[in-house]
Amino acid sequence: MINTESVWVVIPAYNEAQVIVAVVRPLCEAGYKVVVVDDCSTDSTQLELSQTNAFVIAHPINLGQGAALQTGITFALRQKAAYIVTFDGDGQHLLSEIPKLLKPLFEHRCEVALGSRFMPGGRATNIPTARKILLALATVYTRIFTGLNVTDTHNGFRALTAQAAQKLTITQNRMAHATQILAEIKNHKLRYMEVPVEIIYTDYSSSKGQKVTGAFNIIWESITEYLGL
Amino acid sequence: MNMIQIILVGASVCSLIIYLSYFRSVLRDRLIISILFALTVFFILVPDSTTTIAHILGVGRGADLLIYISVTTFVFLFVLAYSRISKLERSQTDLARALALLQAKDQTRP
Repeated sequence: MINTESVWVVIPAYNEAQVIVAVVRPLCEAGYKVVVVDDCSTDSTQLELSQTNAFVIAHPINLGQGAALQTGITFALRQKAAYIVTFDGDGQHLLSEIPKLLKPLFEHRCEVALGSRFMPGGRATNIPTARKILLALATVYTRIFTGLNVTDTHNGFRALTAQAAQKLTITQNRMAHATQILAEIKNHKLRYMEVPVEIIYTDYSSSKGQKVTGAFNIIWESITEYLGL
Repeated sequence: MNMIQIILVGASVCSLIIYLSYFRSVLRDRLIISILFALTVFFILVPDSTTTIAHILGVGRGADLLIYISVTTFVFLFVLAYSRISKLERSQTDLARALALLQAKDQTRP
């Protein structure tokens, strides 16, 4: 059995009042330590969270999902986490698959486990066609930019060992952080593996996801970061 | 469009990218700005020189040369400003994060 006490689930959240308790409560009940980083939500997300046992960190200004992830990771590391799982706050990820991501870490087969919905065994349930196309393009772009042969480059479901998390620095506050995490994995030569997971798209989560223009922004941010701007 | 213009544009773009990637420093940024400023003053004080230099470089008129230099200068200054803003954003993120983490400490833990 997994010692869930040393596993910290980091959830970046922005305006997820509708679903956040449904996402967080089962995680706490499963025994994981949960920290939700509220990225200055304008709805009642924080109020909802007070009904759970999760740690809540509130950004004083809206910084972006990447920044929220880094804040959560920094907090978890300070709390002496042994393993960190990044998990979306909109209900797209399945808590039951966390052990799948942790297994290769426990077995020392890698330091980072990346969830993939596009590999054999992975699923993207009810994925809107536009989103599928966007993700395919993003995957091609990220594979070229980072040189890593990853099938799902923008999957928020990941597990890392504390040592790997310590080496990661996410400076891309907004959506380019996913690409940056992969670039960091490459730069620090972290051993990684992809693990098939299911991502469930609902009307709620689809409406909150990235728009096509997001792809342009990601490319712009990646390039300016690379140039040191 | 003639060959020298293509070469100059290509060289300028490459120089900018290489400079930004490897050779940036506050001192060098300021040196470049100073040189560009000195050039501007020079061309204002000795306007006829622009025609001579322009002809040497294969550019039609002195005025055209000034436009090319001006555009390069503006692009460079904008890039510097953008870079400054990005640094500020990073500092702001660090600050906001420090505050958020500090406040998290004060919370009564469940």
